[in-house]
Amino acid sequence: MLDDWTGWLNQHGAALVLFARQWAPNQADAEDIVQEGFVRFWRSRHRTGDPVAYLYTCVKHYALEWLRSRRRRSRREEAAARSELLAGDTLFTGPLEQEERREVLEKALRSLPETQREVLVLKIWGGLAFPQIAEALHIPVNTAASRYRYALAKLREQLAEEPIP
Amino acid sequence: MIESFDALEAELEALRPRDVSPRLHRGVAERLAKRSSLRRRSLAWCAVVAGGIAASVTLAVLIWSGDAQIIRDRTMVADPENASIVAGDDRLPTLLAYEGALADSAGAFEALLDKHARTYSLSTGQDPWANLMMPYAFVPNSTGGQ
Repeated sequence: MLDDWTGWLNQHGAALVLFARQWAPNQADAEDIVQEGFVRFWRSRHRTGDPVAYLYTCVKHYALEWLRSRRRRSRREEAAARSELLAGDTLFTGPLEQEERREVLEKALRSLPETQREVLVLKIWGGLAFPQIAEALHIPVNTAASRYRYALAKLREQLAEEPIP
Repeated sequence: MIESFDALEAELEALRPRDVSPRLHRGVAERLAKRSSLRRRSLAWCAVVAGGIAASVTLAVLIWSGDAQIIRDRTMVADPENASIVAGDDRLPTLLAYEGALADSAGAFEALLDKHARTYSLSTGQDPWANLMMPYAFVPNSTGGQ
């Protein structure tokens, strides 16, 4: 399994792109980030104890690198990127009858602080345990767990304010 | 409280992130293929360089050992271990022959000089060095010019 990159990409690709969407304004940019992060991971995957956590670390590192280079290019582009990020294409797919609810959830997710959102993405859609999240984000395990709790609490608060469709 | 907490998690888990496009798979495949091709190319270059170095070292060793053999051959006459080859033979104008004659007497030395002068005089056209192996890397100019 460790030597089959397609298996890795099939299993983690969608969650990785969702993870990268925190820094990328659209799906295409997020896929570019995942592509580079994944290639870097693949070259050095044997150096780590937990390859799954390391995969997310590689993607985040490259995402931040990408973001810095993009910011250097022009502040106008940055502003455009931020607006794209807020009103960009959808993060999730699902049945049409749940479209409204999905939009509400997406909006609530986008409003979370980045530090909480990344933990939530890794836990819910990445399927990582708290120790893995801690390793991937270079934070203590307790911090990862508390950020997750705060994220859920904030989501619940926001969703409570929304009218139930 | 806990129920609603779990319900929210379940609702979030039910959301499916968008599938990745084939472009991502293609991009990763291209990047990894490019890298392995670069690695193969660099390995081939390493092999070529290593082969070149090995060939150069082998050639240098062969040339060096060949030169050493030539020098050994050319210095054979001057080698004290091989001195017995010419010791006691006064037919040739060698240092050993002159030393032997001088050890006998001054008259013997002069007689030997005269003998060699007669034997290797210019009128005979015989080169007095022709039968000697030269103890030099370069043969002296027989015409005496520079």
